[in-house]
Amino acid sequence: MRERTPTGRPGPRRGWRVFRNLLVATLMFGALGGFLWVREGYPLPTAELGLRRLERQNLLAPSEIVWTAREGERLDLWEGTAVWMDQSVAVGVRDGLALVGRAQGGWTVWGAGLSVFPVGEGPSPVPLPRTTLSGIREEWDGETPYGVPFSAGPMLFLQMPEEAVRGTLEIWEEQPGEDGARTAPLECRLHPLEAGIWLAALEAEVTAVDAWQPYLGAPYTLRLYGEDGGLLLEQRGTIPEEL
Amino acid sequence: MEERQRYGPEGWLDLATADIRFKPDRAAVRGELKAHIEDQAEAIRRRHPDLGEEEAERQAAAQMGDPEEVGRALARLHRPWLGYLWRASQVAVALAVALTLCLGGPELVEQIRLRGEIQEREPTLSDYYLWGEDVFLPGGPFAPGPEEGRPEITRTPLLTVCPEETVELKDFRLRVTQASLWSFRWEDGREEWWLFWELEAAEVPWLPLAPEVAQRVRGEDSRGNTYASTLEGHGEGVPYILTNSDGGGLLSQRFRMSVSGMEPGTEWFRLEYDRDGVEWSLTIPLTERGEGT
Repeated sequence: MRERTPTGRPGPRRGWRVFRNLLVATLMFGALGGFLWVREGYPLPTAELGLRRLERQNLLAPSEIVWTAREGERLDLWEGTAVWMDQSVAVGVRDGLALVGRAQGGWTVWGAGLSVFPVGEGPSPVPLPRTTLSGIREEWDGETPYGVPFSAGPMLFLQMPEEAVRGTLEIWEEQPGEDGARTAPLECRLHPLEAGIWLAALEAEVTAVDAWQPYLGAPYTLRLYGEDGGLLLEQRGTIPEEL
Repeated sequence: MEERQRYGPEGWLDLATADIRFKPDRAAVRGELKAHIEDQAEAIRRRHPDLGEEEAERQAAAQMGDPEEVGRALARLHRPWLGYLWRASQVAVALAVALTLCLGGPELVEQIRLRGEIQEREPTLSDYYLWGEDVFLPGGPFAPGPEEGRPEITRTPLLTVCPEETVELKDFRLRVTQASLWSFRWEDGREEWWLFWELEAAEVPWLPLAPEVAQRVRGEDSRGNTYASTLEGHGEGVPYILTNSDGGGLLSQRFRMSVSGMEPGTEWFRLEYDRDGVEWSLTIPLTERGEGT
């Protein structure tokens, strides 16, 4: 029995077959995509979504996201020095708290974590995980520049005054010595990232109290300078511990 | 008529199907038209037996009408887009099947194998504590051997409960699935109670509860004693709740938790969480009556 006459249309059977095939293909692609999404740890496409999920996982209210950076992103600091993000980071602020979300290998449920720090009035330090940055400092060997890698202990400073154009940071860190514990300042410059947000990339040469984040609880001195070079602000405080 | 007869059957068919752009349709229509011409030619030869086969087919083709007119009508009926869509849908299905087999198949088999391995895991002492099974009796898996003599600590399960209380949060539902109370008695007569329980968080797979939440749970018992969370108390020399992640299923996550050093006679133990405006508590009754406040 012929499916159709020569002068007839192909008929509803072909239309039905097209619909059926497309439905089956869509369902299979959807299932495969879902399976791969599950296998990869439910990755989210943006840092904002990643931080939102971390907030919900930790039973925290949503914060206002103030800064994000991608894994592999390069940040050019002062001349001759650049740092790379070894992790993706998203920082949110709310009610005197800074929420620092970090992720390695994408914003998955396995590779992401959250730290919470207190934030006060005015310039406030927010430590980032020590493995967040790796740096390259350009040095000159006579006439030829070459890169010197360094390990960077990163720190964000939030709520920085707009009129500041330059800043320095001193952190007093305990170091073992022959005559007992002594302190020595680690100094670095600060680099503005966005409005009110600056980055300090401390070069960590020695092990400290906490191998993960050596500066927690350490005293610091922040100095900010205006365009005329004059001291705008000198602030002493303590690097906050994680809440 | 004479003009139409100039077309042989193949020529007529070529003209009549030339405007059907979708090749499979063109072939199918051509085949059906050809069969129709052959049927007509047979009928003509039955009426005129002296007519040759070729001539009969030519006349049959002529009777089909102007091939160009027929071609235009057929082209209007056989639009190519449905044909191309049909082909594309076949390719889509084939591609979906191939990708599923290549990417999903081996992975699914591996996941099933891994799940089988997890389910076959041997119970640990932690499991027995939670289940309230006295594995220290003679003959049990943790019974002291004859050469070990009398044990320094005598461990006795007292009670196993499955509290019904649940906590509904925005994204999670929490409950204590099971709790077991043990007596630990030393040779010098000192006794304290230890409590082991499992906290379950029902959740969706892409939003698992952060283990840090369970590690921030504090405790209080009916005697007024307080217990720090794992994050606060570990290594600080204060009574605290010990928390470890214990896996779970697709829609839940489980945490093994325990406290030690409770006073004998404690009637209930309450888990408490209070952070950033989120407060909840779960009470584990430690009496047969199941009371607790």
